[in-house]
Amino acid sequence: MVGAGHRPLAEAVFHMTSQPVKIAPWLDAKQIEQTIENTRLPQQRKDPWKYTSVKQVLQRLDSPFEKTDQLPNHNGSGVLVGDFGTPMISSLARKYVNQIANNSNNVLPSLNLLRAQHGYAIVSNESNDSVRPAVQIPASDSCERILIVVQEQANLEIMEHTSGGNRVIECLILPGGQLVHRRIQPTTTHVEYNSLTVNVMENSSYQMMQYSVGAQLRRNDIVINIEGEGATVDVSGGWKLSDISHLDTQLAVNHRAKGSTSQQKFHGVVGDSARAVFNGRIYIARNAPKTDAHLQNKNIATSDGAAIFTKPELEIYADDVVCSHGATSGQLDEQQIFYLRTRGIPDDRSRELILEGFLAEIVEHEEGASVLGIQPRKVDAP
Amino acid sequence: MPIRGFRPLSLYFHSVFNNKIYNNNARNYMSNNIAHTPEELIRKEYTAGFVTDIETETLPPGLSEEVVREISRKKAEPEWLTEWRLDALRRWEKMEEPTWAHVKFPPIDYQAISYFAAPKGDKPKSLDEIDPELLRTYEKLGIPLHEQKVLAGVDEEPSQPRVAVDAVFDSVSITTTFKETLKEHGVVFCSFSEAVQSRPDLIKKYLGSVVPKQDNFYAALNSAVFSDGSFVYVPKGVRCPMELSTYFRINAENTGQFERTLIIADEGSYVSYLEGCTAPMRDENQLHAAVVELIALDDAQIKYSTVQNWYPGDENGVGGIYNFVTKRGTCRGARSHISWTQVETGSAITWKYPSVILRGDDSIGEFYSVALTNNRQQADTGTKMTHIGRNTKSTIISKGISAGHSSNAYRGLVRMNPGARNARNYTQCDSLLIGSECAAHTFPYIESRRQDAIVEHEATTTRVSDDQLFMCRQRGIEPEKAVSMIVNGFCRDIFRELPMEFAVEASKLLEVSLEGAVG
Amino acid sequence: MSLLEVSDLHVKVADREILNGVNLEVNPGEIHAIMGPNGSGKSTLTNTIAGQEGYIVETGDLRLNRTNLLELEPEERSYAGLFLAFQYPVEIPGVTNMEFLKTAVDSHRKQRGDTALSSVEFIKNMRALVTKLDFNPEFLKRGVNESFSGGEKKRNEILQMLCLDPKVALLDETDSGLDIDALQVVAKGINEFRNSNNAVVLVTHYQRLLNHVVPDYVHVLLNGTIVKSGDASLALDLERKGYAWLEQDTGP
Ligand SMILES: Nc1ncnc2c1ncn2[C@@H]1O[C@H](COP(=O)(O)OP(=O)(O)O)[C@@H](O)[C@H]1O
Ligand SMILES: [Mg+2]
Repeated sequence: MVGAGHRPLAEAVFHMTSQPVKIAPWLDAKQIEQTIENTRLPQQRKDPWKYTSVKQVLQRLDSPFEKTDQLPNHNGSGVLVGDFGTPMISSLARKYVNQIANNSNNVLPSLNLLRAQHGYAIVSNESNDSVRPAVQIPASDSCERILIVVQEQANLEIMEHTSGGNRVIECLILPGGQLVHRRIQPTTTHVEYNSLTVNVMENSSYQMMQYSVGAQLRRNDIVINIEGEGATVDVSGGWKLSDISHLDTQLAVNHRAKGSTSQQKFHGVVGDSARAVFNGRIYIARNAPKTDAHLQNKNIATSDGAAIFTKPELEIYADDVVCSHGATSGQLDEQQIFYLRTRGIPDDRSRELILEGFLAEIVEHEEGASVLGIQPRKVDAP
Repeated sequence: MPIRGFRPLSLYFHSVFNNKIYNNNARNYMSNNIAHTPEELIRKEYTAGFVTDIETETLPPGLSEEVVREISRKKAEPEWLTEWRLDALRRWEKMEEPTWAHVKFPPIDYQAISYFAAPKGDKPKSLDEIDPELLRTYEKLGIPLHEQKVLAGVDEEPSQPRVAVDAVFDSVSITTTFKETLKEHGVVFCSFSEAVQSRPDLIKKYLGSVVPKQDNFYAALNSAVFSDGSFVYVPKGVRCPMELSTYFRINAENTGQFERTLIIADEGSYVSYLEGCTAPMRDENQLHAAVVELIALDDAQIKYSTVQNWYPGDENGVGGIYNFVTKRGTCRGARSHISWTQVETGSAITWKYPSVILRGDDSIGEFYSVALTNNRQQADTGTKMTHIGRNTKSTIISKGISAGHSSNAYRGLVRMNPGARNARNYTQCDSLLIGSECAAHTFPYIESRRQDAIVEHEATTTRVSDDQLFMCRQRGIEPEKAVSMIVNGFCRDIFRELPMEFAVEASKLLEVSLEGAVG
Repeated sequence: MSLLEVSDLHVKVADREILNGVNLEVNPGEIHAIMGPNGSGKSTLTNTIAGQEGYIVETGDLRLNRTNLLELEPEERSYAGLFLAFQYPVEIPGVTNMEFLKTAVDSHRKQRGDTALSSVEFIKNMRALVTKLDFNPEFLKRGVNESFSGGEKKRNEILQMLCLDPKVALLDETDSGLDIDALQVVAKGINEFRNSNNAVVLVTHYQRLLNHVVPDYVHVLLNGTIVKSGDASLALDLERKGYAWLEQDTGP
């Protein structure tokens, strides 16, 4: 569907240049531009941009980015990191770049490709469980494209930092592969856009944790496609927002094969005049029976200026499934505070403690804890 | 704290023990098309699907300023109302059909629809003047148009409330029963057209005050061409002495039905209103675009129940009603209370979101819904609770059942505005799937701009489990019966909210609608 | 003439052979106890007899009053006079116990060509039963097994048995997880039910219940076959010695 009403917005803020795709010259830029032309451009104040200004994101994408060619640090022998031209990588890059994120509902990954300053791939062949290769994706305020491939039966751990850039990650986990992905999102004054698409094949697993604090505007689009039987997806995270920061996380888990399970669990604390937007979606295709999928999002507002917009969605076409979702929004439980105060803990500290406990439920990593400003709990356990 | 409307006494149990109510009262109201045993039920088809052979006066198809003027002229409406309609028409012409709902249908040709149909002749002044063919129609449908008939059934259970009926046939109201009795209590219950003549003050004050004429595409269309519907005014401090109900019947071919209902509950009053609807089986789709506005002032309570059984089309999806309805209530006064209860089993497509604007402090909004879709039916239904006043509370319980090739979506919005101090919402939203070709969706929007507001939303999707089915069969209950029993159990929380007569009707409707769903 | 006859029953579940040649003959008036360690196939046996899906009968014969059960649907087996008290009774939210029971009883009556009981009559019967079993009548108004305690669920199974009055009642660990009072209620229900025309098969782990309901025969099921049968004293032996000695007896 192409409505005339949508076009002017994009045209006003995003200019087609007909330049070749710098990071992936084998791609046909004209064709990509054509695809963009033919795609319904995002509309302001309509799903999935109901609460976040798509205009600001597009404007940012159309402005000049920092140049960078910094490649991630990594350890482990079975892992390969290099730009798309690297010999061992180029065939994978040609096969998957712009294929995994090629989603007709979201035009932003295509726009990213036209502007990307930097592109590289991370490939794991390592199947030794005791020495998981670990890769650090550094923060950058550039426009980047990243491809991650976890080969059959291989392992990988990724620690990603985002900071005000425009980053599109395409990720493929081949049968039996395992990926643990932590994403840390510290404070930034920029408009930040992240798109992450993960294709999960049979019997593989993807675990993701995302910890976020304030940004002028931060948007995370996450799409996880379960394409193989018996796959497991576990996504969790939390946010603590203050000032006038704005965080929007749009997460979709698409079950397209039978017998898979997914969990989504997010806790958020929103204060001052901050806004938190969360859209969690579970989609179960007709050919995906025996699916078990659950989603939960809990929010606590700590000030009257705070705003919380959450929508847990279910879209189900198969009957032999167990699905549930829940969402809450509220304030600190006065009963709990009272209880702590009767034990001699001052009011302020009581509130802090309860908020920490609320966030600790979704934190399993030291750095995640520290970005949210809490004491890690599970990490210290022997 | 979740706000749960849990009541320990189950409805069924109640009806078994008070089997007088179960056996007698159910028969009094809308029950001629009810089957009484499981066997009858299994074989039962859409029995309300007959056509009444009656001379009808119909406007030629098409929508224009002239058509709107003609409708207004037929009803001898005052100038301001004609202008109001024309303004709506002009706004509608500039609007686009909404596309966000999870339903699919071919484009509607609004110029191919006739916007007015009525039985020929003047409006009958008493029952004796009503065309016998019409009387037979309502008899067949089980709607009591004779007041004494209703009274006769009451002897055995004197405490049972009576039901006053407004019967709307195509575009006009045929008759309204118990008007005199109600008048004694100061309650106005009449057709909308009549109210325009008798209570223009109220109409002028409240029409469009809850659903503005430009609210949405279908509401604008209705505002331009609305035909008839019911009007209720309950004065200060009056508890309406009986259930009020409107029975809508579409009969004419190629016509749309655009009724308009307005209910005003003045300070401290109470009214329970029921609505039922049926239509003949026809191969063409017919449009039904109604608008319902409810206004509850200080301490007033309105309970609005619907059992919607428009013709759903056949098993291949041919024919059926497009039910595109805007229903909204406003809790204008402090401590006012509006509850919507709906049982939706009919219509080819349902697009309907009965909502409450919680403006008054301490006001309460409730939405209880069962939506069942089978064969090729599509439903996109839910509610909007807008919390504006302090300490406002809302409860949403929605049960969706999808069978066959149908699609069933819950769409809801809970909005806590900055002024809604201590507002609360609890939402429970469950879907049950029967068969592997159907679909169930949940789209709940939650928007909170208030720290101390609490919103809780829970949803589940399951299917009738093999273990449940096996246990029933081990006890000798056949699979088809077992499924309908399990489905009824799944909906029990909602049936508790319905007035008794409707609860019985509704639970039977579910069985009929599920026919053939277990394969 | 035997009431229930299980001959050389081989059953596969999820492609695994669980029962390999079970034989059992139950005559009118008898009480049989089937004992055996966890996982030995006791529930598999009862579920197969009741016709649960997924229990594939490879070979063997199942007869109730000479009727071949294998040809019957679960509800037809119920009409033939078979009752299974489930080890894990299922919850049916929102469907009241009363509604469930009346539907079941009416279905049975219809099958026999009787008219349905009037609600008044039915409730009268139920009230009498409920009092007999020391139930709180509130119980009937609640959803089937919905938020029932373990003990309540088991008592509910006994109530259903008395209500449907079967020829053969298979009770799968109906005594598990009961306190002493509840155990006595269950025992009372079974003794109330039994007569010279019907029969009871008790699946149990413990001697406990057998003190209150004395079996005529005790069978030990091990690894999918009955390895030993005896009278009530066998249960006492098992209580003292466990199952290991039997395992050695039959081991290859
Ligand atoms: N549905 C099933 N799927 C797979 N294995 C099953 C199933 N039901 C039972 N089994 C297996 O069959 C064996 C016997 O189980 P069961 O009959 O429940 O034993 P008991 O009742 O004696 O404890 C066990 O090993 C159990 O794991
Ligand atoms: Mg067992």
